Amino acid sequence: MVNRREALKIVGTGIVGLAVGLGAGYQIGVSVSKPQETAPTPAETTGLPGIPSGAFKVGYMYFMTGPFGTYGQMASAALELAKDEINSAGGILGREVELTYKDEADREHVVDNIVKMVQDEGVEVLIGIDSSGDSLKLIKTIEEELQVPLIVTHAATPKLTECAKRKFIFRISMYEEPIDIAAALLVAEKYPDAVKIANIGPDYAYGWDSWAVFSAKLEEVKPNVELLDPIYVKLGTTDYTSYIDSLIEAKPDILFSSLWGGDAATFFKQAVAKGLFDVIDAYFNPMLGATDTLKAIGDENVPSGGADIWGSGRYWFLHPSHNVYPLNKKFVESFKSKVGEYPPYVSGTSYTALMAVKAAIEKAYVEVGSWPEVDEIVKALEGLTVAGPMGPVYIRPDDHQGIYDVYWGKLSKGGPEGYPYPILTDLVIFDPSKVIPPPLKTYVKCG
Amino acid sequence: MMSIDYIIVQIINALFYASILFLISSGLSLIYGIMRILNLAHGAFYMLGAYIGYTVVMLYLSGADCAFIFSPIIAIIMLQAIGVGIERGLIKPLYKKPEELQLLVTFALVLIFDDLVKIAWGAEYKSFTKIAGGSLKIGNYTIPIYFIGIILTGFIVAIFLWWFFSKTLIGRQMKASAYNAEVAAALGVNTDKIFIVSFAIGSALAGLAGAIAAPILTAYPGMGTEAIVLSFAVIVIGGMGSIAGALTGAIIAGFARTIMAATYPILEVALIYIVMVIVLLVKPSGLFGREEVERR
Repeated sequence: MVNRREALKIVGTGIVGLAVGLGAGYQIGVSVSKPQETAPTPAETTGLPGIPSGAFKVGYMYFMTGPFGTYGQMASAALELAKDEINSAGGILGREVELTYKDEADREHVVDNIVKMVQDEGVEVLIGIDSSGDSLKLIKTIEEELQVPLIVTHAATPKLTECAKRKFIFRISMYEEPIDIAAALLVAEKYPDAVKIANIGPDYAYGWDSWAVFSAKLEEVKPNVELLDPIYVKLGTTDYTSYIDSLIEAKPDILFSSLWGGDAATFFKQAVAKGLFDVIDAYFNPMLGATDTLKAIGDENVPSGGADIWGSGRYWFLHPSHNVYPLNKKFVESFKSKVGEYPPYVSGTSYTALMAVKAAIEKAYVEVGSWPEVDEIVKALEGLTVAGPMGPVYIRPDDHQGIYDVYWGKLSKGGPEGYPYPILTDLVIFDPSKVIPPPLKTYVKCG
Repeated sequence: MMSIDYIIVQIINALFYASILFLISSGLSLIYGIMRILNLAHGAFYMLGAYIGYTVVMLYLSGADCAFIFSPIIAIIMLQAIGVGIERGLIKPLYKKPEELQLLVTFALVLIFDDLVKIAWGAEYKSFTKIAGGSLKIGNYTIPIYFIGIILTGFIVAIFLWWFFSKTLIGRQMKASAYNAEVAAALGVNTDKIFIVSFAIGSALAGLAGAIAAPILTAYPGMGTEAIVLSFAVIVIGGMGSIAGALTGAIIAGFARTIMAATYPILEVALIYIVMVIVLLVKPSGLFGREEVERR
């Protein structure tokens, strides 16, 4: 039983405590979210004519949470790195770059969130998209409704760029088709006696399209192949043991697999445990060169003897060689010191995307004399060559697709080379004219 | 024509998967049978067991072989403690409350644990870089000894549970309480104690399943949800509250999956649910279930 005086004391203390707490929290929150600004903002220093005041807002969307959360986190870290480099050198034409994002893991609201970023938050350029399915979903909204540039840095379906010429959608990252075509060429060249070709991939567009391209090209260059029924598994399957044994039963010479991320590592380790790589001659996974997958596989699971294990990706942090191409060296070192890890491919491509946006705006400014309109930015992106960590990237005008080195490398233990997980070595780099189809031509069925 | 080696290997795959499912489902079935509580958080216990296993083996003992023995033991001990804590704190107040409330609370636990796990360990898949034990070759096929270990564990647990419920006093009291809680209480069975023991055993089984499955299946946030949905199908098929039912349901699920994976991969996921629907249409109480008698 508390009497009135005590009650008032308690309530009073509570209110004071709450006020102090809220005040302290606000202060802490403010000082955490806003970096100390002692230097004048970039827009104040350059005084270029025709530049709007206020920050230049770039919005991005990737999987930031959930099982694919590392892809978003790593892309975000690279975008932050690019933003800091740009802003500390004066921003884009004096305008400070600001980043905002939405989580692609919010599956029901992918389109809504993109619209929100542009219409409610004033985003002028979009970067992003992990899932091929999402990228296709966004075509109508971007091209017809929002009409702002979207630079894709991960989603790899040819359908995004090769089924129709988009106006506002660009893709910096290599799409899957040249990588799959290169694999077919590699099979024909290095495994001339191979006949039975098997596939295990995820049961959605990326899985189906990768196999469609690889098998179509392979039949062209090696007409005597026997394509076994492709196996498609639900994304997120964790038990591949029955599939592995049925593959061993079928005795293929070559196994192609577009499993990626954690799934690829789980499959790989179960395959090693079950001796699959003693039965086949070679294994090709276009996404094996992803650092999260390599880390999950670990040096202990790199098989010695048995099949050749080939991997690729959209950017391999050791190529181009750091001795020959200092930009890659600098990017890898900055990223590693900021994040504590070597940059995965999503980081290389997202970094390059922001640099491409900067280069395009500056190029358009020279022609136009004021901050360019969207149409002028788009025109400047077409035909632009931007220096990325993966090498110079040429943005083809006819399909808005970035062109740079396509590679396949062999899986090797990383320890002996001083890396904490397996790496790709002995990279085979392909002549672009042999693996990259002309614009708007694809093995995949459009429509 | 399929070789005999191939058939043996696929049988082992099916039994491996069935053993994991049995461990999870038996715990779920036990808790439901005795306490009449649908514990959705059971999947979260499975997940915690997996993460504990990962931590013990990979983070503390760097993949040493002996770690694979310690990790299930530690998982069992910790999950018992966590299970009892949750039972006393969150479940006990819900004994007499409507089932919807129990479902909401246990489902909330699933979401909370998913996030806690992401905060503590990160969102990526947690992978073991090796599994203990070598492998044995059957023709062209390789079976990791670890798989045999898992199947043996499932078998031993099944025997243990049978012994516990038919030969020990507390086990028989629990069975009586499952049959008719009021009469059992009237005969002097300490219902409170029974409930704690059931929850402790149930959670320990889920934790054990997680710890031994993780090296093969990897640990990731949300793995509990997948496990719980499958386990529900298993105990619906086998009969809720029956351990023999959980065993049968798990074996059916394991073989259904393996057969589909080897023949029509498209149906791999769907088949078990098709079986569940058929069982519900033909014998709604499940293969080993008893017709519900009004009690409580």
